Amino acid sequence: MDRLLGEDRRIYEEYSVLFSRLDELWEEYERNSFDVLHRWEKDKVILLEKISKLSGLIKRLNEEINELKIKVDVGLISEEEAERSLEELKNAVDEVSAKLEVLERAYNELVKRAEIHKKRVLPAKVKIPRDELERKLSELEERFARGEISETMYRRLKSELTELLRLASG
Amino acid sequence: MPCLSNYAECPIFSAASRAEIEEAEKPELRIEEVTEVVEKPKIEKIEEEREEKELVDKFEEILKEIDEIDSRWVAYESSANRLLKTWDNLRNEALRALASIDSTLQTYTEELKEIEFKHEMGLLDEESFHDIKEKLESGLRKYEDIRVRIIEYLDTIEDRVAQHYQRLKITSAKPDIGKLKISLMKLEEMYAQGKIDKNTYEKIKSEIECEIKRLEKLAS
Repeated sequence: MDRLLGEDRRIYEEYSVLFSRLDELWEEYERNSFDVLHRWEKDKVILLEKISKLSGLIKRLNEEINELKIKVDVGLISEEEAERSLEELKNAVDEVSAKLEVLERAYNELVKRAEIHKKRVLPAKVKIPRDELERKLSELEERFARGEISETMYRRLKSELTELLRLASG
Repeated sequence: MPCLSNYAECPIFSAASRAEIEEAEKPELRIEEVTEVVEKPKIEKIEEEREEKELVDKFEEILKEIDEIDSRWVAYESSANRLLKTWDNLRNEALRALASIDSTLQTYTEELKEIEFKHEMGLLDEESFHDIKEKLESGLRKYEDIRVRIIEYLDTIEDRVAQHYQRLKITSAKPDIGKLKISLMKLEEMYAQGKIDKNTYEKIKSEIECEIKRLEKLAS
């Protein structure tokens, strides 16, 4: 490269610097992404925990509403007695559902944003050969078929593996 | 010898006359049925009155004690009813908390399974895997402990509340059993008609059956 002169040298040097800068930026981005994704994987558990608690609570409140109505139908409780409780339970369901909706929206937004960065940086970090990825994908299908994993988990992992496979093919 | 001329002064005649007069003055001896009114001595009478007063005082005392016990029972009954109502609300709250915890435990277990699978597949690096695994496992332990404690409290309080429940319910046990049996029949009918799902049916059925058993125990 020492033999490059004039404009050629200028262009070469300028772009060498620029590309090095890009490499640095990418490394920095990659490092930061892994760090943020690592923290996200840990902290998302807090949000998931709250979502689970609220979902469980809504499920129970709805069960209580259903049971109360049946108890009125079979004459275990009078309609007047149940009226106030039913109203309170319905209000509670509305209140908790509103909280859950906000929380789920926030969680889903963060999941989507995390996915974007994961797709960018994961292939660089996960160096799995194509045939190995195909084997893992079929193992995932088998475990899902055996009922070892839930549908949500299956879909999430399948999307991750398929993305890696696509990049490996490219 | 009697003096026939002056008989008034005659000692024999006057002695005889005196005896006659005395005989005539003597009160006639009548045999009557006399109701014996025994005039008791004064001290004895006072003593008797005192005993009667003491007895009345004792009656009054007992009545006061009965009033006292009645008011204590009313106070107990209302306190116990209040307690049962509070417990009913708290139990519902505890069951809701348990439902939330169960759901959380399920999520933690799922997440743990997912990261183990990702780790096995090489999609998750060692450091992240251990960090997240530790967090999830400590969460699982924490919520399992809370769950156990809530269930222990539920059982303990349910046991202790039962005796108060029995005392309050004992008076209305029989009519309640009849009502509960009718409710049970209606429930079975609703289930047979497909108006309620199996879980709810089983749950309410077991609630009614437990209540019937409890009341039958009381009634017998």
